[in-house]
Amino acid sequence: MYQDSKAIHPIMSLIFSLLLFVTGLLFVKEGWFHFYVLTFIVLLLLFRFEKTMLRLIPFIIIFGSVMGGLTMVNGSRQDALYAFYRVLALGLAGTLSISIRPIRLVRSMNQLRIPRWISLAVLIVIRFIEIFREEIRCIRQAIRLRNIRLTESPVLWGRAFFIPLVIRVLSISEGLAISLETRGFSTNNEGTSYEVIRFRKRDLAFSCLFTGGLAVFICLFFGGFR
Amino acid sequence: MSFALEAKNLSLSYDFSKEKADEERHWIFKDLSFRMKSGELILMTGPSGCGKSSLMNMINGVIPYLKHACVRGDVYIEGQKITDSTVRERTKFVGSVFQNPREQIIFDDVSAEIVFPMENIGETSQRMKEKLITLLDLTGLIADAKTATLSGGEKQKLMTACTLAMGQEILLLDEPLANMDVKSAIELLSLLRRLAKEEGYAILLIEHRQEMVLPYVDRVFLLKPSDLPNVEMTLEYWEEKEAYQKYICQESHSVDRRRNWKANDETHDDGEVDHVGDTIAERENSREVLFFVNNVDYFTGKRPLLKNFSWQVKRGESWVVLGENGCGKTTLLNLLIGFEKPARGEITWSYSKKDQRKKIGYVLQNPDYQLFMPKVRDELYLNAKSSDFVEELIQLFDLNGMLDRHPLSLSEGQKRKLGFACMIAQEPEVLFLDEPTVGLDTASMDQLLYALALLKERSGIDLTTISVSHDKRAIPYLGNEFLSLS
Repeated sequence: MYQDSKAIHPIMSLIFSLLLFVTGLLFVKEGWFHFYVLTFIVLLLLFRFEKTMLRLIPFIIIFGSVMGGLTMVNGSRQDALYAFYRVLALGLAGTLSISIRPIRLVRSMNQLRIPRWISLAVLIVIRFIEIFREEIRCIRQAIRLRNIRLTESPVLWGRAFFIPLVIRVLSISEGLAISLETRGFSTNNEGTSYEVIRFRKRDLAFSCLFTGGLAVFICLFFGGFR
Repeated sequence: MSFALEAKNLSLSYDFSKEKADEERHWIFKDLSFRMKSGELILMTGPSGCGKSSLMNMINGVIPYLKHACVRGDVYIEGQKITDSTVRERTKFVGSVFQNPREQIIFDDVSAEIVFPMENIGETSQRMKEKLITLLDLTGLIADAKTATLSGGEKQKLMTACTLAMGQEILLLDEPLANMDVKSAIELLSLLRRLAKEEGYAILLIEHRQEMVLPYVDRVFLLKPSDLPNVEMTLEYWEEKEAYQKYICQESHSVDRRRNWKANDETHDDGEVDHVGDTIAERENSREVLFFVNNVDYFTGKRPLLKNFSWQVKRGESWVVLGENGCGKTTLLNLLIGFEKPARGEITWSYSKKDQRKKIGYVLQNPDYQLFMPKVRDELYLNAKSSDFVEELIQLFDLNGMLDRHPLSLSEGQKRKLGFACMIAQEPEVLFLDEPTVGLDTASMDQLLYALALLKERSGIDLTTISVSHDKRAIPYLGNEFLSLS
């Protein structure tokens, strides 16, 4: 079976991702925010997350600029910068969460005896984002094929976009439910696991560096080094 | 004697009204009974939308437990009545492969998907490893391939592998060959035959590609229109498949006579004079090149799909793109229309970008993306060039009785025909068809091919078609030039 040697333990990734997001939002107005971002970028690079980070750069630039631009309409330049930083924090947290392989997350949750309905719900939510993106791409292609332009007939375009989207989402939800039921998934039995997700030295090193780094910034935030 | 699977007086109606007595309801089928012994491989066939999938869903419990319907009758497995058992309870005995594999994939890689049902039934890690290797070998899938990058046929193989992984000895397969190439289809059929004959599985196979399936099956169940009032379908049993073979041969002869495929007459011997007055050879030479594909490379992840690929198509040609599952047929259509970009090389059209949008039509594999108007009639007339042609298509596809229905309330086969009709009503100069006959019975396929001939007739010799198909029934009628991808 495919083993991802670079991946961090999925539960750790999920927790650290949440911590990065929350602390990122909290620290956005601090003067040392740049050091905070830089520290975790270096940490992620050390643990070979460079490809995932590269994938997120366009999202951060586009979404950050939009958020910053919208904020600037009613606020100052400083507020716009903070809005951009918030997106940066989201991107940083996203690097960890999108690198989680769903199956590894489910298996490690099962090992921790987390109820299967929770682990499967998490899995389906993660998968649904990907499915949703793919469905939107297909629908937009179909609209192009029927020669419907948003600029010429916005109402028709709306119909052509939203009706197939709703139908596809319903159909996929039903398909997934049937797929789970007919493949023996049950919330009652525990099942077995093909792969044991172990906490490795790599995970320990990442956890120590991450927690240490974060502890320093939390101390700074509460004025601990004065 | 107990049978592996026995259905007694199965009836199905989508007429839910509680006030109505059973006699007043409209039934899809009523009082169907059949039996299957261990070791039997049975083909169930019938026209598109006749209730084959619904019948399968009544056996595995999806109807009425997950999809609401009015049902009657009982199902027995090895003599045990399971009518009141839920889907999950029935899963212990019955394995199901459904249509639309794309909607059933849960995980992002192939091995996780195959292993998941085995984890659910509590297989040991060692046993899972062994089964996984066997199933990957059987399907030719790659363990760490991303499910999102699989072709339609590969997704179908994946879902079949997931069902085989569970090891139930009663298997129900709903059009498992629909998107499969011939080699994979033969491999799957051989495997099913082996499971039935050597390991005693009872297998019910729903399929339209009968010419391919018949050599492998023992008996045939045919769903056909019923004579009874308020009942649409009845079941006909063919104990002798040779007799059934003769019966469908007679049927297909009558279809061939109707399939007067004028558009392909131009493939006749060189020198023959066509209706324009030129010789075929002269016309071939004078045709304008529609597009060039120059040294194109395309990758799915790290896997090269097209490498140094070059091709040119002239106006008026009819091409069929052939090849095994996952070789890049749909990707090629997507590259041509601009939905995908090549990693290297270029595609040059004789049309400007603006014209491409108006002149190229594309019939997608899944019609759900293209249907969104409130009524079938509105859908057909949207962007149609001529109302006469639309009327002609309505007659041809028997859409008269459903013009005021919502397009998405139609059966899968009807939606496919409607999606096709909508696209050709736009009278494109270039038409891409991606597996247009999947899930269609022979009569519906015939309507579709005839509509294509009508369009070709309307556009003179100018219509260019590029089709992707695995369907041996349709390939000879879809084109006269072939591109084989490997």
